[in-house]
Amino acid sequence: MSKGMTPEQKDKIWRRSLRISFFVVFCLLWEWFGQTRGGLLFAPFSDIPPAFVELVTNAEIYEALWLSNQAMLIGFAMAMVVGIPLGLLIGRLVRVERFLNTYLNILLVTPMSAIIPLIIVGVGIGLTSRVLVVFLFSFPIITINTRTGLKNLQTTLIEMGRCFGAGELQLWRKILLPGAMPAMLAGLRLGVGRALSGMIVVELLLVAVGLGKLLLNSMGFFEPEKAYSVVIVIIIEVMIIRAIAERVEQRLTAWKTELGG
Amino acid sequence: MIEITKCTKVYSSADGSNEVKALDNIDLTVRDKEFVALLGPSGCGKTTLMKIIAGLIPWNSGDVKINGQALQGPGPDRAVVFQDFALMPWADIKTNVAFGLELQGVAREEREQKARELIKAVGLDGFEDSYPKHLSGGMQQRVGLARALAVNPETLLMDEPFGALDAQTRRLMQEDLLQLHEREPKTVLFVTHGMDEALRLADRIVLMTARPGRIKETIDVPFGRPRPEGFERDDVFSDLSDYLWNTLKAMQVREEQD
Repeated sequence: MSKGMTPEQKDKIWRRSLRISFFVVFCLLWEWFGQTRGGLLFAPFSDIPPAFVELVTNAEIYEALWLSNQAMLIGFAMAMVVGIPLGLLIGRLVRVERFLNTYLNILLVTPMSAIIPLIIVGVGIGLTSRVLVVFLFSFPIITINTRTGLKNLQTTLIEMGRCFGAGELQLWRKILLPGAMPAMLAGLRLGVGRALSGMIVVELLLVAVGLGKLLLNSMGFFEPEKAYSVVIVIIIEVMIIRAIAERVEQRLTAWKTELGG
Repeated sequence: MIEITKCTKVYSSADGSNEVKALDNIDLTVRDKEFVALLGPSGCGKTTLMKIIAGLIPWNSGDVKINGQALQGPGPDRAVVFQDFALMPWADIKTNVAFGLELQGVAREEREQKARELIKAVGLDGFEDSYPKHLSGGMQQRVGLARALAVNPETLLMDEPFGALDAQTRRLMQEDLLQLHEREPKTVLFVTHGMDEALRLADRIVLMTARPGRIKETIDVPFGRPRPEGFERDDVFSDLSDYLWNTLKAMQVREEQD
């Protein structure tokens, strides 16, 4: 029975220790910075765990999560329902693409935060404006990824379908949709990230409800450790949603080669 | 039988300013069960001609008739084998092979049964449930061939089917195709760049020139079927190969002079 470790195991242990040590050093620096230079708005690391525990054991954070995520869910659902068919249309019909391409690219690179004030002026403060912001944050990337997925399908695959007698509907069901699926799912995964950003940003900038309100109030009442705890909760939510999205994506596209074939 | 009379195909740019005559007054007849190779340099229109016969693209003037009827569009009587295999990566091999039958509405059990038979016939026994990414290039093209044969076509349209394969695999595939054709002859239109490939496989070689695409010459391949042992080492083979090469070379030179 060999007692030694394989090189791979050694490697893994080394990497893990490195990661942990980085984290420890980071926390130590944070603690030092907080204790020496801190102030009313910067909390040293040691303040955070108890604040975090207090946060998650009270109803307040969960009410905030529910309120904020309402906008996220509705806005993202709308972005899916609009973005995917639009992307498919653009990908299939060259004329439509030429027409919409410029607008779509502009939407993709515009810092949406700058648009938010315009929206508030137009639609007011409330669920509608938050939903609209989430929608605008996430729908361009969903559309563009869907379009790209369709366009990158080998042209010969479509020719092959037509040669063997596929009508337009059969082409869609049996070739175009399955083929574009990986890109569509990637677009949705990226879109959900952007939707979460939109959800938070609009609350921080202009419509103080939910998580944004919690964050602003914590800073306003000089409780930075509470603010950081809220941020940690948000990060946890993002990570969970991310993990789910990746899992779904992997399951549905097991056929895609690692090399992108 | 495929009859093409005075067929012309012109590609023009979006504003109509640039016109390219891909095919200029093509006359070609392919008899039943005849193996015809379309040989020529790049841009001579051989793939365009094949796509017209497949029913994928329209032509500008002239007649294209299949068994006396004007060509309407793609059909199961003409099955295509593609240079890049055109397999659906998300489906397993038996689904890929059965695809033509699936589009025709054949029941699942029946079409999977047919698929399995053909998978065996092309030597891919055991790979029914594998995915294209698990297969080498040569194997993927066998799947493409099996898929084409599954719809029981009268005509096989092959667009440089072995062009993407390495030299050894290509030779093997050529020999397999020869055997297949000898067992169950079909009308075959085979687009290729390779003179030796054309000599090995075809009954007749149609030489095409580029810009505009025209038929320069037709050569009857003298080796009978089944191909006699060692026919490739025969002087006739090398003489014909040289002749084809010189003719093709002359076409290239003339182009460069233009």
